[in-house]
Amino acid sequence: MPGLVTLSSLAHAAQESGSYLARAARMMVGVPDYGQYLAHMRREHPQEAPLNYEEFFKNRMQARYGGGRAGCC
Amino acid sequence: MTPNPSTHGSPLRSFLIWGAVAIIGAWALGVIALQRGEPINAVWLIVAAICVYLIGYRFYSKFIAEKVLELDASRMTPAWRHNDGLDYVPTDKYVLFGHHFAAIAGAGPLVGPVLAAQMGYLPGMLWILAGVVFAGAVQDFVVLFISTRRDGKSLGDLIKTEMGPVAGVIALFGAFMIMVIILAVLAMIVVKALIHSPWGVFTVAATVPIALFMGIYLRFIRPGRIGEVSVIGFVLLMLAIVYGQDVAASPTLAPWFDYSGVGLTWILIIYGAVAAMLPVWLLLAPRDYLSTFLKIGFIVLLAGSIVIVAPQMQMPALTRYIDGTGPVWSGSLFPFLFITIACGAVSGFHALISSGTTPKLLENETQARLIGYGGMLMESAVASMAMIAACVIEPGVYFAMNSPAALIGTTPEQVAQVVSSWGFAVTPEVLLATAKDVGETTIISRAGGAPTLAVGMAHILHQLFGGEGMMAFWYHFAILFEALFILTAVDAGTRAGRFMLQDLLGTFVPSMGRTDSLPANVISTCLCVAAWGFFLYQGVVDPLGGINTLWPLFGIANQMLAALALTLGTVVLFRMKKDRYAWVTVVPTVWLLACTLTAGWMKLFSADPRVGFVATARKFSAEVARHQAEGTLPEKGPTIEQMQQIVFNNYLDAALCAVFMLVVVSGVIFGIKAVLHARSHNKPSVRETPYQPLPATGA
Repeated sequence: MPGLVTLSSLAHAAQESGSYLARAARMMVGVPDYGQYLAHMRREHPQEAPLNYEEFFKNRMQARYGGGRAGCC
Repeated sequence: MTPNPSTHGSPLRSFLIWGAVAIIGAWALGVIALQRGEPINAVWLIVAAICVYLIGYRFYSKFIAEKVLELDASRMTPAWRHNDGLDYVPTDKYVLFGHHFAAIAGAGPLVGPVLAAQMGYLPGMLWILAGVVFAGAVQDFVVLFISTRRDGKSLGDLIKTEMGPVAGVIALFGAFMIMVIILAVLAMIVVKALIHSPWGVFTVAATVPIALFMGIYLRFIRPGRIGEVSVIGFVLLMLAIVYGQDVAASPTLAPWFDYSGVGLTWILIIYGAVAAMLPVWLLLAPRDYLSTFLKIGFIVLLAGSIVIVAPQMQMPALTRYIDGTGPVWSGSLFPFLFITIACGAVSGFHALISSGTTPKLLENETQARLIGYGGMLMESAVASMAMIAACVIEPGVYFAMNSPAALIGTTPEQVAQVVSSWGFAVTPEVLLATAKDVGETTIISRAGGAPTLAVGMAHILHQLFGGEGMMAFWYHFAILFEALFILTAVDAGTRAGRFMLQDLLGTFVPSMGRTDSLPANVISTCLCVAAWGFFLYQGVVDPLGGINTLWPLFGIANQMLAALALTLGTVVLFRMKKDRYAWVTVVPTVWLLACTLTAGWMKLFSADPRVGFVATARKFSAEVARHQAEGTLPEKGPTIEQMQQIVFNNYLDAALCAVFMLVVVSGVIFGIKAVLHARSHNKPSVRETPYQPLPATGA
């Protein structure tokens, strides 16, 4: 049924752009993509245990604000 | 609006498209420049601005990317070289554009144009457009490029390696002083907006418990869920605005949130000290999330509503205040317009951001053009919108809101009479009605830009959402939005200042350098707060309104940092043996030096007390001496003690201004020496990270 196919591809596109926007919003406050981090760890450091999301988030928060980030005018 | 014109297609098609853009832009500029007395529609300004941005991006930034800097798509960037998924991450270019834009956009581009509107919208608008294309965006782009080719080093380190260690220390010291002035002037904007405004104070105060709740939620209840906590925070904020009206109307609650300027100053100083010592997850981080998302949302909302509402510009294109006698700030068009609008045209502070996190996230060197140059064009668009918002309100209301009480009086009758006598007709009823519309008791002498902008935004937004009944909501929404990110800047800036200070003090007293030591933390935080708190207090009690003193100091300092950053760019171009293209950074450097040094010189030595610090100090010390000789007391205006304070403050401001001038002059001398050194070699003498090709996955 072509109608349903269009609907599901629409839903898929909406999901895609939604996750893209969420990624952009998180990066605006200094939190990069967690999936990309996991992929990096699996590829480059397979023997090390990656941070879980909570640890990853705390690490990014400390990196952004801990050293005293100068805001802009 | 992300400028990303396609480069595909036939040369003829490209020629036709860009020819059309050029013609439309020239036509819109013509309409703006040639109107005679007739109010024009704000859409003309938007069309002109967009065409200028598109042409600047498509042609000038392409020229810089391909000929001047020779961006190399095959070259490894720090994000790939040091990829750790945390600090160094190759990031999608539009995602990074958002990150960079959110970092550079602050209160500056919203305030400067509002203050500059006293000369009419034309001079400010032309400077915003020309400044961004030839200076501001060039600076951001070039610094981002330089840092990316040097493993994402910071501005201080870059100046140190390219221009020598002394120049590096000078630049860092300059950056610290600029931060102190920025924090003082930003905090003053909040104070001026909230004086005797229980509604405003309640909503701004509510952000503290809201942020604390968000911090605890994000740490313990649902760790790391930024999206949902931001939505909860946003809903709570909106409730705070809505119920703020009831608080202001309640005779029992309102007095709790009703403060004078001095009262608010002390609250902000104590708040700044406490906030900067709390752990970052509790207050700073959650408030930064709120303010970042609110900022982006608000900019999108404002842009959309200006285009849809298409308001008329009420302010004339030019007012008589281009002669330097303006009531909002004193000084002639050259050089003072060019330091009043700093952010939005060119902002030195961006050099710190462009050499901060952005170069560590750049996926490909060629994207520095979109992110550095394009990001600054976007900030300039925000400044253009601020100019429009300030100019769609009645000029009489604009001058009543922005002139100090010492010039226009305090009652609506006095104010209407004085402002009308300047040629900007306004009645006491209009002043009262405007205050009532936005839910305040008075709008007179609310200098500092934020309240004017809020009235302008409310004027535009209520035509789209909610009608007259929503004007007060939109006004307080705009005030809250500005206060929110100013408070975030005060908190983060105090923290950054504390670390800089500990670094500096640690070289003399090692125990002061330990950032984990509580006494060292408390002492340096208090020193930092005292530094900006002093200037804040001085600005708040200043009989001429404070903006006249502090904003030019901030503008001079910010543009001087830009001159230093562009000097760094020039040194690097000569080191790359790109002598024939050095004018790209030399021309804006020379222009900025001309503006800032002239302005600095006039602030120091002008005989006009409204402009010169020393002249003001002399004027008041003569007054003090006269009263002491005659044994009299001043009948009105400041007391003897206040006059002595004014004398001291003005000498201090003069000294600070002189220090800024010394910083920039010595920085430029180091730059010239480095250029001469580079020219004495017949091969490039750049100190870049050696070339490595991008990995196959990144190409």
